[in-house]
Amino acid sequence: MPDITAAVDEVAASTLLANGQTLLGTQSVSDSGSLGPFNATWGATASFSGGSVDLVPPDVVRITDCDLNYSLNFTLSFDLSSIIPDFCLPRICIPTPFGRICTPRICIDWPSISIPISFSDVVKFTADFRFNVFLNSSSEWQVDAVIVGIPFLQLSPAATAILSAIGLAAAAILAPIPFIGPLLAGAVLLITATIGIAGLTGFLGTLLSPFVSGLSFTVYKQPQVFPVLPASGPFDPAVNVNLDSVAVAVDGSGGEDELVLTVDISA
Amino acid sequence: MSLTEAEHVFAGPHESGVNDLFTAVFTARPRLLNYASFVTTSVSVTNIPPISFPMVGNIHYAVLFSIPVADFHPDSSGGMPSPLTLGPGEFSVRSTVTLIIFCQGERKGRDGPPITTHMPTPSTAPIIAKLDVWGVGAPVVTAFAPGSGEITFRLRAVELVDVAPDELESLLECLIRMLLDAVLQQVRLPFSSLNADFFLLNLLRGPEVEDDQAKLYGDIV
Repeated sequence: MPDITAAVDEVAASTLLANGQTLLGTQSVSDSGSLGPFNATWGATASFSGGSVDLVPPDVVRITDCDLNYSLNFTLSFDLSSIIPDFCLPRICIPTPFGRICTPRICIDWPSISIPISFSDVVKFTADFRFNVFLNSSSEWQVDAVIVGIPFLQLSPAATAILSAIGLAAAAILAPIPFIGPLLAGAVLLITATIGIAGLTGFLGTLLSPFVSGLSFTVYKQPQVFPVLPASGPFDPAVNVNLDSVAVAVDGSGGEDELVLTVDISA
Repeated sequence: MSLTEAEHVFAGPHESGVNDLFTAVFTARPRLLNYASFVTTSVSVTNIPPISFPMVGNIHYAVLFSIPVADFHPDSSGGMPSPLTLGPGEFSVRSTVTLIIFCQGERKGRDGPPITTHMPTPSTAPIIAKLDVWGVGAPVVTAFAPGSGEITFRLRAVELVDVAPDELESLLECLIRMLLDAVLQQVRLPFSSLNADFFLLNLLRGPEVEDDQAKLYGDIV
């Protein structure tokens, strides 16, 4: 029998999920890039809320009806001067009885055009995870959540409308291209329409699952040396134990699905 | 029956884990096991006052325990002496206690001078008695607030092996029970060691000692 056995049921696991969402807070990321005359800056913030945990033996943790609250901002800027040369109206001088009269030199500097797009919405999803627990190179027990699948993912009507609008805009750009333009435009329209319909009906997750399955992210790290008691005065140093092995499983043999953690320790 | 039973969280340290914990605590803090009147307190030893007696002055002594080994109900210790019995919810613990006294006035050898110093010196010959000790007790929980508290271990009885006569055995058992109980009380496992960044354990039941485990039941705050 392991040195320590700990278990949580689905109620406690859901509480852990809520606590984890609070601890995670709002995550943000931003970046920028350029391609020829185009410059793009973008940023995104996201947070999770709601949802409950469904434990599926032998190792799947399903998060059901969780909301991904996201906000996107995207600014595309285009410097017209990079493709249309700036030009100047030449100076013209006219001799007059009063002397030479010259017009000023007028130069046209093409402006940069910026198109900002901001969008905030909520995606409701159900996702299956599996925990991968291992001792990493920093002597930490690392818990990675590995995506098994996304049984359900639903976009809002607004997000679907934006997706359709992007598809239409792209199709309009692609269509005039000789020979393959209409084919590309049709393909883009088909793909975006499929994603939109799947997003509205909740089947988008099923479409995405093959692409995201196996992706993992770290959810917890614990140094192998675990502090049991802090130092207390000059004669009582800290007390630590080594976590020799850590394992996680979902067990339903007791009549209730539970997330079970087993740990072996040594002094 | 599920591990969490009617509650939502379960934690069950096995007796092997508790013994690893005892080893960690007493190895890091050996002064919790070793008490002597003739040295100053250090990480290794805790200073205790000598026994003062008229016409003798200070009688110096030491009490040294080995690291206790716990066995949770049911009994699998293999040799717990009678009349000790391990009831439901209890644990047994075995250790050795070494009693040392520096006897004054004795001669070191037949022709040596009497030893009259009050503080032992390397030349003072100690009298040493080493006894096997068995005890039974139960873990005790003190909860301060949800997620805050500590678990300690208390003894209710101690048995010394091969001490006679019975009156002397009872006297020593009473003494050793008080001392070993005090030693174990200093092993305080705070709830904080069971908590993590994203939860606090709110203990609702336990520890219930059974199946070689100390079972804790609760909820997450």
